[in-house]
Amino acid sequence: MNAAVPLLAIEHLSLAFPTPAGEVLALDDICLDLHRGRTLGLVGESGSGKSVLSRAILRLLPPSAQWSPDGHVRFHGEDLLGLGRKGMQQIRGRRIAMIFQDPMTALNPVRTLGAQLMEGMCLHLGIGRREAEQRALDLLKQVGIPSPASRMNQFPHELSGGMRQRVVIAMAIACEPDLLIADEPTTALDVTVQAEILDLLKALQAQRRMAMLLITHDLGVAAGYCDDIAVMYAGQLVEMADTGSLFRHPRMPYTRALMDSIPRMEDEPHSTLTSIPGRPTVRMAGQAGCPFAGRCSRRRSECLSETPPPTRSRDGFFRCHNPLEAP
Amino acid sequence: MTALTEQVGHLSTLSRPDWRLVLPVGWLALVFLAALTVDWLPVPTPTDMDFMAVETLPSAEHWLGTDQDGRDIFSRVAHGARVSLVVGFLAPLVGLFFGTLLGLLSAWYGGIARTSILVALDAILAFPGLVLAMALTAILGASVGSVTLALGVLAIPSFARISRARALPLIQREFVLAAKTAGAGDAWILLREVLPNMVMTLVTYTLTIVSVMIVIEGALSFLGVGVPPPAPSWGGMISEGRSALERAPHISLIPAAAMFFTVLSLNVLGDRLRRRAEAREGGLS
Repeated sequence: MNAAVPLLAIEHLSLAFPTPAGEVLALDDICLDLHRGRTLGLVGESGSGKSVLSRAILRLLPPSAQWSPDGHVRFHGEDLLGLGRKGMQQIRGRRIAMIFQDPMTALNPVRTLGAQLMEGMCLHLGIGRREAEQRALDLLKQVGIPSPASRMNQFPHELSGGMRQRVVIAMAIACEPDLLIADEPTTALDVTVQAEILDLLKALQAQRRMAMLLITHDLGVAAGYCDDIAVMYAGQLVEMADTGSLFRHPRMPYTRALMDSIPRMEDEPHSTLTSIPGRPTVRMAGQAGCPFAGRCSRRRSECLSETPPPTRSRDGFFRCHNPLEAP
Repeated sequence: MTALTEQVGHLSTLSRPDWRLVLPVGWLALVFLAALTVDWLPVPTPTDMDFMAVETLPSAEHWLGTDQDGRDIFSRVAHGARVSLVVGFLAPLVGLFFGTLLGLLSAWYGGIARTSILVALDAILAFPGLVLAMALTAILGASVGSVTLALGVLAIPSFARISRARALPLIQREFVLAAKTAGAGDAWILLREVLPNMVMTLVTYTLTIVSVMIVIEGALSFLGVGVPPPAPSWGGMISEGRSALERAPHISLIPAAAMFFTVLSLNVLGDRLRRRAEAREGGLS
């Protein structure tokens, strides 16, 4: 990791939601750094807190969310959690942009694509209609939409899923953000389009030196497109390392189990897929122990009573009392 | 593909006239035309009394006959249409504007804002509408303006309820979250993202309310608290004709028929629009 100040630094971020059953810990002591030009993959099962983390960075959570006082989200060194409404609105869309899972619902069905593309630019960059229109056309060209001029007056339902996601991407990069959060950008698309969209994101990122937080539950996508990977489980980052070492030598048993459940080409046809026994847990505030202990084959007695602290590895960290062997 | 099927749909409606669309539109156009052009038509003014022709039946001189004072019924119906149309279309606009505003605010904001808006709306709804309208016109003085205002206030709660109900699910949609992510403020989101999705619902409801307003305006005039005589209004004409109902029923029946067909046309038209809106929204979600 380089020594420069990271673009995004999340420090000890914890977040709880009150429920009738007690406080549910949605994020537990999250620490991560993201540098300019890098892509961090955030992987985990559904419900592990990936989306909550992305919305927490942009402070888009319901007011009932309870933030821990010692958590910080530093962006360019400035703590976003201390910003007011106006300050936050200037960050959103302008400095940090987000791409959503389903491009059908992320676009307003009754407004033209051109209007939706241009309004962000007019809002944040203070440019006129004509200039915004010119830039919108350029953006559509950049994201690979054929005959952009005629698309400007079309409505979202007139485009295919892949095309719509390209428009969503164009909207996200319109104001040249420093950080792009992609929340499962290809989950709603079919597999052939998936690779096109990810290649496009990767190219745009390299060209603009953006940092990207790529949220996915697809380890294959994470392996192919991310520099570093953070594995999330029950609101905790349980392991983080660069992509190569994480896949070669996972230290946390959960990471290992995730990788084992990827089907392989060498497998016999119709062989049973490997899965992780049990279900993901929900952690309550103040609950001790490793969240994965209940499903872990390497469990020891302290796993149930003590939350494992982050342990430094060669290029990241992991949380485990009984980690897998380092090489 | 959808554009193609839409075109085919248009073609098929062209080749076979849709009477449930043509007739109401035709009637409303006729009423509008009469209300607009009556001053230039060769008919007496609505207050001219022709004592040589009292309670006459339709003739070449008096197209729809005359009332007890010898006033031309066609002229009075056409002038009365102005009152009905002005009140019928402006009052819903008052309700539409304030109701939509309150509905959006109560859907977006929680806490005291929402509670106080909803309580105020319930208070208006709980009050008998006609009594409230009568009280308001009594206070403001009887004129087209005050009747419009009174009926507009009456329409606010239902518009607010409808727009709130429509806005609530829209606010949960991802494009609103996307707009927030893009740094949009509250007013921006409500007016640019949420409101355009509600237009069809609001338009169809406005059309329905127009006919309700025309009926209520008629009721107010019938009761003598609407537009003051001698200015003609449909409700007032029905009321005045009551005393001659056995001798000359057409004095009451003609304005009543005018109101009946206008309200019916608006309702049929609103129904068509609503069906089209539902079909479109079904395709969107």
